[in-house]
Amino acid sequence: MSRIECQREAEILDAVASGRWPDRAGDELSTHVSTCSICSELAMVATIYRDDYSAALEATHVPSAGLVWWKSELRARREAVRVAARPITAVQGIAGACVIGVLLALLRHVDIAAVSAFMLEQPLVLWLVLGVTIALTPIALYFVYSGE
Amino acid sequence: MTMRDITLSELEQLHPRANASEETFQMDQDSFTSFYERTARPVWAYLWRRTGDRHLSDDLLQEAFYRFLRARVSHESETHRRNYLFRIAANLVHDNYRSLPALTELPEEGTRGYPIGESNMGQTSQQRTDLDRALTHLSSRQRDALWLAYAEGSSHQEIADTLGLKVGSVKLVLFRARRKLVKLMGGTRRKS
Repeated sequence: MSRIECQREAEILDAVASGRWPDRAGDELSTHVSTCSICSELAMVATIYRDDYSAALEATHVPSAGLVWWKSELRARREAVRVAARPITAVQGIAGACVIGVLLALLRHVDIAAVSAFMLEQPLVLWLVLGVTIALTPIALYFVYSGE
Repeated sequence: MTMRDITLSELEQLHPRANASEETFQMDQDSFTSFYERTARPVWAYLWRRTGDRHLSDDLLQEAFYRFLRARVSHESETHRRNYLFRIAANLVHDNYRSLPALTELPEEGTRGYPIGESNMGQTSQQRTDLDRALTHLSSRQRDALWLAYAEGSSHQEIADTLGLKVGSVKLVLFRARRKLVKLMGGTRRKS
């Protein structure tokens, strides 16, 4: 089974991180790296990444901590409101179903023919009902959809 | 039976009180600012080098810190806290990659996703291009491990904690990743 690590890896990493590699790392370490495939690969990759990391940090522009905190707080509030409103929405759904049920139950006991006859005899009532419906519908729709 | 909407005063009550952020988040603003100053740039650099997209990195940075703040995790040390943040960032990168088609070629220079900046000039630009091309042949885990080990300088144990691996697995992942990377870009690098 081939080796996957060398005891001198830490020395290589230390030399690369401190900028001593390859010129000021010392002959002994350089000789070892030239004869150890693991350490030569490590030195090469670590050097590439050190250079790349420095370049990446130079190009870094992060927002302020205050802005990130404020955005996080805002989002936490929104989520809190959403979570708090969840049971209310569920109750609203149940209440809507109850209202429909009650209306259906009432309709069974209403004599549609008698109501129609009454409306025809009293057209003013019909117009009044229509007027109120037209006036209240936009208001009702506003309250229904204002939450969205 | 009618139901009413939530009133404005009730909404106000849902807003955090003066100290509610401390209840919602795992640290207060001063501690967060201090921690952010120490970690934001390295995390952003990691996100940028993993995604190649500045705007996406900005978004993922915000998301990473938000998730970090909301997490109810007790941290033994600053290192543990930092590793946890990187773990969140790594997961975000993986989630993002899952939602995108596999990247087989680098974006053209000047197009969205191509790394930009003064450091791209000249030889550094060529080295970065070589590295980017080579990295497309490595697995996501290998790229994470290499970055954490040689850019961040994390120990094997720290990498294991961040990536959710065993230390022995980290050593093997790094060994294979190094060997593959050297094979892919060794010629040009050795000459330079």
